[in-house]
Amino acid sequence: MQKLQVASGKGTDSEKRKRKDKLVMNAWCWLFMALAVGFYILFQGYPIICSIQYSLLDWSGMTGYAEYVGLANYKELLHDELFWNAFFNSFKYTALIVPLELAVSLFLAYMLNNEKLKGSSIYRTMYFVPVVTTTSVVGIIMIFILGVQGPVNHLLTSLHISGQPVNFLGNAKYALPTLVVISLWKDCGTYMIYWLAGLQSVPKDVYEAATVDGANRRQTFFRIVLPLITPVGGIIAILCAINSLKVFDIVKTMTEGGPFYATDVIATYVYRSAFSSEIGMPRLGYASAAALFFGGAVIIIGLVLNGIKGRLSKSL
Amino acid sequence: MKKRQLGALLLAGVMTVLSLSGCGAMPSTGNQAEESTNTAESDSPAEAAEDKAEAVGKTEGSDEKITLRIVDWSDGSAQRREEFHKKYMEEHPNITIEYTMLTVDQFKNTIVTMIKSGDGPDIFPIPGGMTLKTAVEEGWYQPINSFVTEDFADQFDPRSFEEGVTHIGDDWYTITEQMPVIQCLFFYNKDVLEQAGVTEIPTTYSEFREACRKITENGNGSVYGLIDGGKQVNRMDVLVRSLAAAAGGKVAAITKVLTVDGRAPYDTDEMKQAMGFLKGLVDDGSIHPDTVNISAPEAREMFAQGQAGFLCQGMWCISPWGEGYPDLNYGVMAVPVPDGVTDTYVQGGELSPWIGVYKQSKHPKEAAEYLMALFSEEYGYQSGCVEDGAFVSVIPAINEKYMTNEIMKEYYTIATETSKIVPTITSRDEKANDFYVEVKDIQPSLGAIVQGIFSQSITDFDGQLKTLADSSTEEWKRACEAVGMDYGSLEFPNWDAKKDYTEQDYEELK
Amino acid sequence: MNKDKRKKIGRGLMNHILLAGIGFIWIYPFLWTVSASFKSQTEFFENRLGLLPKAPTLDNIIRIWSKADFGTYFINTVIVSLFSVIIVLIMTMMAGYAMGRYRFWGRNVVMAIFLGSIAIPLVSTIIPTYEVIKSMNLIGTRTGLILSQAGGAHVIFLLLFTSFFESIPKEMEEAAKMDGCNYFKTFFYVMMPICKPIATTVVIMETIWAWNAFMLPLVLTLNNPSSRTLAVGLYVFKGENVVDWTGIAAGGSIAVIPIIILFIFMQKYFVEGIAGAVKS
Repeated sequence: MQKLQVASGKGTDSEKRKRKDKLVMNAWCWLFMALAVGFYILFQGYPIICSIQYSLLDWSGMTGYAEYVGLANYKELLHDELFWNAFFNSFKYTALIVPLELAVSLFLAYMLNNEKLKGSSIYRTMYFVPVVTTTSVVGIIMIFILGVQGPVNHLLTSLHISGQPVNFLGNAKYALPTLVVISLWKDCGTYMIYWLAGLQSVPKDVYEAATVDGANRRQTFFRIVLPLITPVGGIIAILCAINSLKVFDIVKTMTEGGPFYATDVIATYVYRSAFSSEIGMPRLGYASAAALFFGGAVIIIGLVLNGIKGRLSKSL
Repeated sequence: MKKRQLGALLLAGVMTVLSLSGCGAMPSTGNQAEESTNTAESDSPAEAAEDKAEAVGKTEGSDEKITLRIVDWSDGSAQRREEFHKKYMEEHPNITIEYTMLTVDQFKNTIVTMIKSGDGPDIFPIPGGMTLKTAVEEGWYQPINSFVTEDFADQFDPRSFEEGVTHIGDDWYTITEQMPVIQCLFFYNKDVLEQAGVTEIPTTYSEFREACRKITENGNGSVYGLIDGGKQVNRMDVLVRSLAAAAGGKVAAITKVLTVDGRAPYDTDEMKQAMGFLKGLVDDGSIHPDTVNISAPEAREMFAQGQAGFLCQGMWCISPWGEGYPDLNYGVMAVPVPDGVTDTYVQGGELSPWIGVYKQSKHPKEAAEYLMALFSEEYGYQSGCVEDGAFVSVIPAINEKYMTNEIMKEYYTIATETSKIVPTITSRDEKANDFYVEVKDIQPSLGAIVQGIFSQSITDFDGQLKTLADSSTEEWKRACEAVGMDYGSLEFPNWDAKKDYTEQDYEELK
Repeated sequence: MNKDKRKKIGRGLMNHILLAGIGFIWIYPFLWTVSASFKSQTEFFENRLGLLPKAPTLDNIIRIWSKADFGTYFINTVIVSLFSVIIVLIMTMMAGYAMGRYRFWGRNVVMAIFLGSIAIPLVSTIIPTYEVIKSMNLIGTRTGLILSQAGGAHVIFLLLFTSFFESIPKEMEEAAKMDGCNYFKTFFYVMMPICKPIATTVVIMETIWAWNAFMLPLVLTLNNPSSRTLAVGLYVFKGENVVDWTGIAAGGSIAVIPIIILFIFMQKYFVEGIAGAVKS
């Protein structure tokens, strides 16, 4: 309600006009929203509703027959150790990658937002390329690079950082952090673009003024630029967190959730339950319940964090 | 303020109602809620579709432009398949073939939706986990009897026909791609073995371990004893089941269920021996460290590059090696057995349904003609695949003529000599089909436990095996009860693992 | 002065070395992929890290070219990407403007629903999306493909636009109002021109998604290969037991080149920005 004050007086003329203005504004806004809302309902809302429906069924997704089981799938989830393993792995992965991803991509974006830097457009393209590199090929080359005979291990052993070659992806202890590094490389370009877009809301004269004051680029960044891009940064951080919580492609190609569930995240767990089965049929209903349960948990955590943030900023 | 809240509520309501009504209004079969209350209903539209398909099939002229859509995962022979399609289209200018190769998961993720909506491809395979009976009940396939020539069936090996797999009663639904052959013999790289000073081909656990140790030692960090596609849990499952069977244990083949003494046989002594053997290899450092990160095709390549002495895989390796590594000097051997154990056998390959003609296909006649060509000698697909060593054909005449690949012959001989047919519950009890629909996976599965051993995430596999056996037993009991099948049907008391399980044995149990 | 200058040049050089060094590591896998499309399957595994194929071959390119009806697929991909980008751009920009600049009735609820729904990892959007497209009778058509691609994940872009419009100083709008601009005019003449950086981002990211989408286009076009996209035509190289890695590499390299070209052309908008607009 920043832009339009709600007046509390009686029905004066200006009051009426304001009300009319408000009506007009609402009509315009909804007109502008119509397309997005329409698409949302068809391609996002409807699938979610269907998911909710599936989650109440004992259904393989393959046969025409499905049995309504109420909340049984959800109840079963609570006792499913592997679900909780995937649940916590997802959060672990997110906690590791979000700060790294945001910092590295912001650093790159800030460096490359410099018009005076020669060749910045070439660099931008270079850093963006991993985003479009085919994931299934990435899976193999990473094994070549990170394998026991790969160059990384060669470097580690020849510099005596590590006595033995490290099995980065094959060891349960290192697999998740290794995945984080690979995703960082793969997705950094995306967030770099978001940041570059965000940095555009910083007017040019701000930089000029700072330079006149004798501040170097680092000082300019922390004193002036950072506060200005914080609002956009918030959205980018939310996007990054949500994408990380839902990470799938890279995990599926690199480890399939292994070794022994060490990198099993929600999306791989759900995919496995929904489409792969060893004996008998897959379980689309159960998988839907797992996905929704996780989504619900994320929303609740988000609300709680938001509440804490609100409290904190009030008390300050 | 109040007004805004009201508006918001209203909006939320509208959105929900819109979405909900959309959900309910969809008439397609993908929407399960309506059908969930009534199973019988699903039969009638399928029958109607059959009538329609037949009518269309009859009225169609043969000069019309026709597109046949075929989806499967017959990747071991993809190239031969392509050549076949080219030739077929040349000889049938009115037919266009649209062939799509997918993985099983992708198939389940995509094509199943289309099949249920009546838009399935003309020819497609049954994904694992589904039995033919279930698929036919779901309205996936139609019998091909009336579309194929009389003598077409005669050329097939009689063992490639089986009730509940290819046929239901007199109706012929699917054709198997290949004769069932076990998928887990050990390949060895002769050059690697020689370099490490391994002269005898190992047959027992201790010999195998010793050979691996030598190879690894000699390899100095670049060559290891054993490599495999450890990322693929299903491959690990096959490996350990074969090892356990070779140790004399009674275990069903992968994806199948049977009990021993009323219990899922996953924590038997033989299974523990097999796991112990693998753990021993890990402790020795004999397993290629990349094993856990790679899938079977990658392992196959790395084996061919001389990075390991042994590899446990199926016959499908022979053809790509023949093409990519003509100089690869390798042999094939039986699954190793515990020291002192003799006269044991692994689970014989089980016949599995492959492709059939879609019930709602508009061109069932042409689809059947395509199948006939695919299995004919003149089109050269079967013979080519047999020549490459891709598989053993279901047509004996072709095998006799074209099975020239030495390694393949060796593989086939060893496979036949070291395996015995294992009983299956679907052959015994009709309800077993429902059982397989009902039963749920228990995890960590055998394959996952092997992966845990390879990655050294599990040290005490006994506990894991016990949990798996307990939970599986419990789940199988529950599934039996749910579909009204006698739990005793999973048990075959007259089964002697040293002999093929025959029709007569099934009769005896009745 | 001279010393200062030299120092500056030195620092500039350092920057370049750093950026180029990281940059090389960053694009190495891509270069490797491109080079792999000229390698044989055997060399793919033998020459594990080398960027120069020892025995360059065009087999892979020829193979995938013959598998896919390349010309048609390419045109389809361009059409599908182009129109889905246009749809997504228009709808997210408009909705982002409304949500970023106005507190209208129901805004917070819509926002909450949007935010909430991107948090849910959907198991399979394929079944419901297939139903929706089927009920519109658009299975196997490019229109169906376009709609399904546009419907995919536009909420993310909407949020980006929302936050961007939120951050724009009020003065601009007020100035426009003074000039007698109504809601639409303000949007069209004042807001649209300054959101280029976000629009660029949306164009690039949506193009990538539409260009590379595989599963949905596969399902939607299985019945009608003449409207298939490149990704569907090129990526069918992975089977259950055998994988055609060099085919994947070649397909991946070919499919990606247009996106990289697009990126190179689009990125000047990143640095143009709103700086000038605010001043005037």
